[in-house]
Amino acid sequence: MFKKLIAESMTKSPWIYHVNTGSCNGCDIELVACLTPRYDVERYGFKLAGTPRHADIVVVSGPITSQSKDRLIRTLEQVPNPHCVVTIGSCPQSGNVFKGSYSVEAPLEKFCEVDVAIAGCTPKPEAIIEGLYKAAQILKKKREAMQ
Amino acid sequence: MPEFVSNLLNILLVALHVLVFPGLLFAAVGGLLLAGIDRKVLARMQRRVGPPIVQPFYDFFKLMGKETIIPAAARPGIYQAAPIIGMVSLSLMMLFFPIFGHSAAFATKADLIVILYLLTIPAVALIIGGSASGSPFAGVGISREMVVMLGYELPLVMVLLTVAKKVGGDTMTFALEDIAVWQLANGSLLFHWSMIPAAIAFLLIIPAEVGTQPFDVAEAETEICEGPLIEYSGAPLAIFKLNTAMKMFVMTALFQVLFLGGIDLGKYWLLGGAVLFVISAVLTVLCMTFIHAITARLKVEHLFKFYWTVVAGLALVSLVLVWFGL
Amino acid sequence: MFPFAKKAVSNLFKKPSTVRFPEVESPAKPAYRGRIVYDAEKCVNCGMCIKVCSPGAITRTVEEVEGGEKITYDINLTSCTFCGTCQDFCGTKAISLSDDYHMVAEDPKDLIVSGSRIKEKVAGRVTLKQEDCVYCGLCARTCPENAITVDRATKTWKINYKECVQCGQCISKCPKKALSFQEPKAQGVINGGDCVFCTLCSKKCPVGALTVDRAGKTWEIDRSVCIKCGLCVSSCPKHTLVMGDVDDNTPARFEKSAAPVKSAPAPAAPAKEAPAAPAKEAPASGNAPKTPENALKTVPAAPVADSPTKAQKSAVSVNKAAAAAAPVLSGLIPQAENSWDTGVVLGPDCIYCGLCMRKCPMEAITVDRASKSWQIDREKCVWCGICVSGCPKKTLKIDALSAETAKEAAVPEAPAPEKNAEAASQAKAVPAAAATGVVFGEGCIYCGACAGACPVGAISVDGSEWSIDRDACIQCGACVGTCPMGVLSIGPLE
Repeated sequence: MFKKLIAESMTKSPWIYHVNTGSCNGCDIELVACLTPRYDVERYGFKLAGTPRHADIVVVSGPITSQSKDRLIRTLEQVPNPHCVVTIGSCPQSGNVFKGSYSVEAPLEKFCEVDVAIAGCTPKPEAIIEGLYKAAQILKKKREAMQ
Repeated sequence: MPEFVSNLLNILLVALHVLVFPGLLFAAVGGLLLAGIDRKVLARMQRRVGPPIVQPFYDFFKLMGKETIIPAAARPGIYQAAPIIGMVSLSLMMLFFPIFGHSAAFATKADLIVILYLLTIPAVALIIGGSASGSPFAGVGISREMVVMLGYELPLVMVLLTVAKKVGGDTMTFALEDIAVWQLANGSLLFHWSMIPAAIAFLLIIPAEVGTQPFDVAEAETEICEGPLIEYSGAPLAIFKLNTAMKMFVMTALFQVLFLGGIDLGKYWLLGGAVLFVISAVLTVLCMTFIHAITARLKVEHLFKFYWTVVAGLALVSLVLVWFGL
Repeated sequence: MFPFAKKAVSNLFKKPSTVRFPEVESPAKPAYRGRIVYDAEKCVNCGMCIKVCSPGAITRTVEEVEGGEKITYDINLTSCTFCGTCQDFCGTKAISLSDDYHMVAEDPKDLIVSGSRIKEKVAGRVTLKQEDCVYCGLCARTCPENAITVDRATKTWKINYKECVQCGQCISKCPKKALSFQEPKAQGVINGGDCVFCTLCSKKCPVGALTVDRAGKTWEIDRSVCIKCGLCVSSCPKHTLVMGDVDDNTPARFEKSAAPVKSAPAPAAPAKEAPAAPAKEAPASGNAPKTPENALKTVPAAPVADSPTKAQKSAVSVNKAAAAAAPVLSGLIPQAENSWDTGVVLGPDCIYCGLCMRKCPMEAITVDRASKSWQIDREKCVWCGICVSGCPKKTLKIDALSAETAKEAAVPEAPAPEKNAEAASQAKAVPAAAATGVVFGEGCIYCGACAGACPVGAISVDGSEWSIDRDACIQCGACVGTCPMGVLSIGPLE
């Protein structure tokens, strides 16, 4: 019973940790917009966590600059299992207009497994909510797979 | 043989008290529900929908299901024991309260002093756990936590002294049973005008004790990444979060016992007591939520100044009034 | 704090302002730029979207299939900035941005919008109907591949068929309907009309298809022999030979039959012109040479006298032919040795580097560095101007020959014209001082520009080593002028 309860709770209480890897701030602002009264993702138990140790979903925005690459990898290593990685916008997926730059290391797939990709430049808060919701379902599957 | 059976029954009863009612389970469930109400009402005050009231349960169970990472720099034993110490002290504390008109499970002549000590233990557990995690952010967090403790301990002691003086007169009683009996005879302490500043002071102490805005400097997640909790994950973190909720429950129960014990319910004592307890707990939490909704986080020094001037001042006013027999 | 308190309490009794999104659909605002919709049927495969896409999100793959080409466009939404430029630039509105913002996928491949269609092979290629063209340049501006160039001033229209993707945009944009898809004509070498009958082409031709008669001023090609290798085209010093469309009516013979026309400043005696061409033709083309436009309109094919179907020639060759009507170096067929009135004239600055000798396609120039002599065989010279443009000292020019220079030119030992005798003697004086040469100064960055500029390859730059072969150096000064740091100079050597 507890196992079922825990797995169910995974979808109901995903805490988000946001990593900006050189984003233009567009995606960051839209992620924050999701937490505002207008979109209020706390309805589904989403909460911004202050440290990667508390996180269930790591949200990555930005094209992963060489400066932020090592920090990103270190952050991702600190997240306890089960966890999900979600990319917001085009940048972490492809580098967007920055691709080919000497200081850009995108795509994120090079460094870790990406569970959900949210496209848009920037995505609407609705799209972000949709993506995070999807990630929460994956979290449950991962928890069930852990046992 | 009968002696043995009665001994066994006694032990079972004590275990029941500690683990189920009014100890761990009761406090945990009540605390988590209160935390849920807090979050829901806060959301509504911000014109949000907010999470469901059972959200803290989801959070708790989710954290129980997460991997527990013990950092390389941490002292594993203390690191894992700290949240348990806090939880034990909080569930013990519940045993001293006469809830629902019940007589308390453990009653001594110095309940208030024991409670005062037990109340510091969760905070100390947080400090121990934070320092055992070996993170510099936790270091900042625990230093802040200590300042907050220093800040609210003084007014708390003054409030408890005021209550003791009011109830016991010259002899000063620290027994909660006596306080409850006195209130039944003379009406709730909240309705004695000389006690009102002390009650307000106590209500202002609750947010600092629980660590909610604007007094959450120790766990400021946007500044110092949750402070002492920075390295915690999985089950220990779940227990720390549970401790916070239980603290909320204990503090509301304490407020009810100290200031609202004077309503005589006659033969409906059980049902009426339960309803009264729930209503008073929710109202106390609403006060806390209200403060949370309309303020932003204070700086450490502002917090300290606030408690040693405003809150301590309020408590002092009551103490002086009570001292002169009003 | 009190306004906040009031607000907090009043909010408690108001409905939440939250958009309950996943339960309630929340449509995007008008003009929201969301998921890209690609209509493969409308697409003409012009590739404009690929060109304008700043993050390079659009890729095209072309596969050869039965009955044409299968063209697939992949628009990668995880790379897109949703700027909408592709939509704006698409000429056929095949690409557009919808208001669908639900672009969430566990596999990024699901976020690739693609569409494909089979494009039938277009018969023929874009061809200009010369008569209708007004050289407005619209086609060039429309062309997504920049394959078309139009020059209004010189009335030329060119297309690079290697670049052309046959999208047909230019055809639909042409206001005069002058463009169309046409079966390509057979290719062949066409003489543009600037021919100086130097015979270089016939020397180069590996199959001997060309016959050039210097004396008779005729150029002839045997199309049945020609293998269209293009060697003659690349060897032509006047760039008058081109590969173009030919048909049965395209002349295989080219003859210099135009009236004697001169743009040279010093006109020769009219008596000399008279035998050059029949007198009756002279007035017909007398006013032709003033502007190229006139030439185009009034002289349809001055050099191609026997070409009644000139209009059928391709655009590429037509303009070459039109340009050929320009009189710059045409006309004037000398009848006797002494009738030269125009030729290459040596200025005073000659350093006897010998570049002109090496470049002359006719081997008409002889330069001897040792004895400082410059000679020209006017009989061989065709005034192609290669020596003039190649001269590092810019001292050669094509000019009218005075009676003296004409005579003296015929005498190989008199290199400098008499009127420039003084200057010429100075020019001689400089190289006469034996110890001059390129002087290497401080500040060299070893960029190698001088080595590249040296016409005789006397300079070599390797790493931070600069060396010059003084025996090879002709002191032309090309290196001095090229040096970005200004450290080279010509002066006395130590």
